Amino acid sequence: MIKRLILILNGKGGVGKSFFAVNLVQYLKDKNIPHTACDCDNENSTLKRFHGEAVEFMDLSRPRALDAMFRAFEKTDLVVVDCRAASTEVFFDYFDLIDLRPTLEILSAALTLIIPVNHEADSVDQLQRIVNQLGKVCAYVVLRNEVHDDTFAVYEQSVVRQRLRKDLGMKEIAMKKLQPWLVEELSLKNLPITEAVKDGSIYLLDRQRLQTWQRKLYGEIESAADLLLPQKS
Amino acid sequence: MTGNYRTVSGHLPGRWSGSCRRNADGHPAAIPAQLPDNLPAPFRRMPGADANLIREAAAQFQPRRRPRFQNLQPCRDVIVELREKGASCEAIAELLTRYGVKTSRTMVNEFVHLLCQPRGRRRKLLLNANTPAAAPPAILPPVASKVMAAAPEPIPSAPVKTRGPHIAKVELLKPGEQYD
Repeated sequence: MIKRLILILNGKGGVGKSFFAVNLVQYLKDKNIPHTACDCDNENSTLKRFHGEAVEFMDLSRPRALDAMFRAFEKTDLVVVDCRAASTEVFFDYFDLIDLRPTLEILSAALTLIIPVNHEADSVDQLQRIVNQLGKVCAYVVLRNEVHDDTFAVYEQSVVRQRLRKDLGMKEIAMKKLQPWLVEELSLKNLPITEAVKDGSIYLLDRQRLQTWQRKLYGEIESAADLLLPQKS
Repeated sequence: MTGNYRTVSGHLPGRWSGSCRRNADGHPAAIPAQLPDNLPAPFRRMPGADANLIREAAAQFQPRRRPRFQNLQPCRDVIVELREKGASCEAIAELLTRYGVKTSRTMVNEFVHLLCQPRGRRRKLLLNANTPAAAPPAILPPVASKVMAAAPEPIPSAPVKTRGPHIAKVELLKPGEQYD
């Protein structure tokens, strides 16, 4: 079995890392896929807020904090890490120190980066930076976050996108827009969608909207399952 | 002339050995006009001071103060280039120190600040900072430039870690261009 470490990473804030992480972890729960979820955002621990005690917290100010994501392989074959904004260099430095490629080989693990991008150049620039640094060491899933805007002119014209598609076997998935009042309601109640659709206090049609949105996202996740789930060797 | 010579034990013969003599007020007693001839050299009376010689020496005296930023001036272009890349003063100081230039973050900071000034003001600031440093350049060896010349070329694979601003610069395909 090839274990899988998933990092949801983009140095730019507000691109949808945590929102997607909450839904990816919910998908794994709904499908009964054993996993360990880690949150390393000490200022907005969204993943921990929605999924509670099941989520491990990694304090990036501690030098060996990131060891936890590899230690988690002792328990499960799939580890999901929600990285905080502006932490890209912390991860790069850590990968340099441990020499990532041989470490993954020793652990029989593969690394997948889920990189959310939006219409802003900064988010694409971060993607470019990550790809330039890590190259073929990992697999890439680019998440087109349509929550705020569904135009991706900068991303679509970028050289990095072509490189990812042609040289690095990237998969693209999309996260559709969710109505703002629904995002607000989920956030107010700290409810993942699966629990929200069972919550009688939420208006019926809103529950339907949530369920439709979730089904589409799960479809997208499944389209990239070979890069997101542990694989038989 | 009142004596303020120190007590020296065991070195002086006869009555000069032991503690120095003190007068009724407890102050050291005046040196007698006639000193014994057998005093060792360091304790003999000094020859009379020549005021003209002192004035001449004072006129020739130059304080041993180096011109400001002497170490940084030869690296000026490097510093400007690093700043353009967004390197912090601390990172620049660290890099220069690594290659043998004796400097500090504060010094680099002040130098960078100086470079930001318009030319006239920069000169004025430098002159002000260097007065009264009038040490002739021939006396002071150009330490920094020598060190820089001897320093090895920076290794391209070891970029300097900086924490300066990062502006997004996405590489875009030109219209009609295909990615190879």
